[in-house]
Amino acid sequence: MKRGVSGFRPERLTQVLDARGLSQVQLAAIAGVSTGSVSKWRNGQQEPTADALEKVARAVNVHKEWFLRPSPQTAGSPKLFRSNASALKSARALMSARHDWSMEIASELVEFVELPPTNFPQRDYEDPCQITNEEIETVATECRQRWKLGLGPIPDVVLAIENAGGVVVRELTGVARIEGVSSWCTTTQRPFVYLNADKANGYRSRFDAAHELGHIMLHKHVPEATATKQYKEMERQAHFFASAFLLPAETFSAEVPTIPTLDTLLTLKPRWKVSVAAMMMRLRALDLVDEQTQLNLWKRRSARFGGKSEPLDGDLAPEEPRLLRRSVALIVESGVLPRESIPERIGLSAGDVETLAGLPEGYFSPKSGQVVDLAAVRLRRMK
Amino acid sequence: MNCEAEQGVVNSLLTHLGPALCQGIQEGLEAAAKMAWLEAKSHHQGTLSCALGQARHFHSNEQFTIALDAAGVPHNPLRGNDIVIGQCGPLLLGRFQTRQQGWNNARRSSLRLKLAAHNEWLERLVQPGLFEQRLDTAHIAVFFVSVFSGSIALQPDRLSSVEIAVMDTKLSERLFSEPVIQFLGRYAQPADQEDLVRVRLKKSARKQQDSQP
Repeated sequence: MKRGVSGFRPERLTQVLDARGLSQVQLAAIAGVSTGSVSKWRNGQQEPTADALEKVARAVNVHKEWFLRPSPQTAGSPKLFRSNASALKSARALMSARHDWSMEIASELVEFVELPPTNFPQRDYEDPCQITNEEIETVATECRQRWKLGLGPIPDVVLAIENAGGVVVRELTGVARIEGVSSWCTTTQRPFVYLNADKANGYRSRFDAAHELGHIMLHKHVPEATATKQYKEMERQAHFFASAFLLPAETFSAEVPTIPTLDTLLTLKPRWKVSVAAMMMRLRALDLVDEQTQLNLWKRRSARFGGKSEPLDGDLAPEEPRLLRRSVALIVESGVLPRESIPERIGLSAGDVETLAGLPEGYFSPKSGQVVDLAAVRLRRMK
Repeated sequence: MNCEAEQGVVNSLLTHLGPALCQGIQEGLEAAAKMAWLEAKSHHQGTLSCALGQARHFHSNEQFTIALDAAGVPHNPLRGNDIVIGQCGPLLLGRFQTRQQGWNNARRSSLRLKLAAHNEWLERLVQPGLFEQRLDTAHIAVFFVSVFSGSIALQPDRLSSVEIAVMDTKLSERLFSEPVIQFLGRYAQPADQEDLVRVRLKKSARKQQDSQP
């Protein structure tokens, strides 16, 4: 009987199945192994043979050594999803696994690079019931002040988060019903925001980023069990934060006429870079319109624009993250690690590292004609 | 007036007029329009237009005064039919009401024309560099303009807009004008967001780099 590979980590198998959106049966079919074996490996009842591990690694496109590495404990706070109720469990698992991978990439990179220091206002609520709307407004204002954003429209929300030391990842997932996920990472001591790029709408993406920022600020210390119970309230609070952060009461309300119409809000959309729908919510939150007026606006919005999109939606390109991309580029350009070795070091495929770090496709592919700085090589040799 | 001089005017307005004052005046004038209609609407068709115009003038004057008082802006006392003039640094603040097409109403008041005469230097300003120099001694007359539809049949209880305007001396040309709601956006410009996402190599990585052949 062949012996199994010792040190195999079953949790890695679960993680990769989640990240790839595969079932055990599908993996077994692709890898050419039995479903029963996959189940046993996953439950820790058995370890795969070297040959089987090779097949599985090839099937899910990760390095086989990756299955032997312990899964780093990166979760410093509950993972909070921005999703609607109908989001599938598998979709959440997929985004959660990829969110973990982004943390793992960063954990590898910080061995070589120093990331910007974190600068987030601290709040220590353990129960979401402690957080009032007034408090959320205060946190949003404090955030703007600390980050020197003034009281006008914020040019780039993703940049604001990364300037403060947060890590943002934005990639296509194929999951339509979850907009993002965020949590604090214990290894790097910083917040991570994972944004779904599937909707390709700059206005929505900005709001998603601000929503996740709300979770980062308000819900860092909420225990997992409480987070599960208070999910809806925490989502509402993150939404309220996003509105308050993007549309400060003082300045936004001054620009809205006494009787706002869809058209007046549409004219404000490119300036504030916020959707008409989000502005309508903010107007109600600020008591600038009553419930009936808001209802009328919703009805007219749906009659004129339809349910899903709004005019000008395609005019704003989604904001792109840069922190992980710059970290990889620095390591490669300074010659600390060869370009091709980075995915192997992390254990993931080149494609995964490229999309998660926001690198161009084919970044890790060996180049046929690589330009070498001879002067730098000569200097290194002389030393 | 050239572009740079216009920017100079805008900067002066932004420096000397607080957003709260502009917002207060805007809200006051909107309220005045409603109050005037409530008061005048019961008049006979033959006198309605005249009564409405007068009611608008009185209510707008009162609301303008209240807004100036709330912002602590000194002004001449509210008396009879007189126009109220407030002063914020080099800015002299007045108001008038008019209809959307053709701002002719403003010229009816001799006191208002006298006020607009302060803008003569702006009309003559050719060299933009002279703006700041002249502003030390000169004044700028600024008007808050209640713009109505111009028809008793069309939204008589509501303003079409409230504009902030710097007029020429004859009160016929606008040297600068903008809806107050749009002007308020100038106080909240997007911040100059600097890209601070800088990563540095760790010392240990630099050593590793140096030790490579």
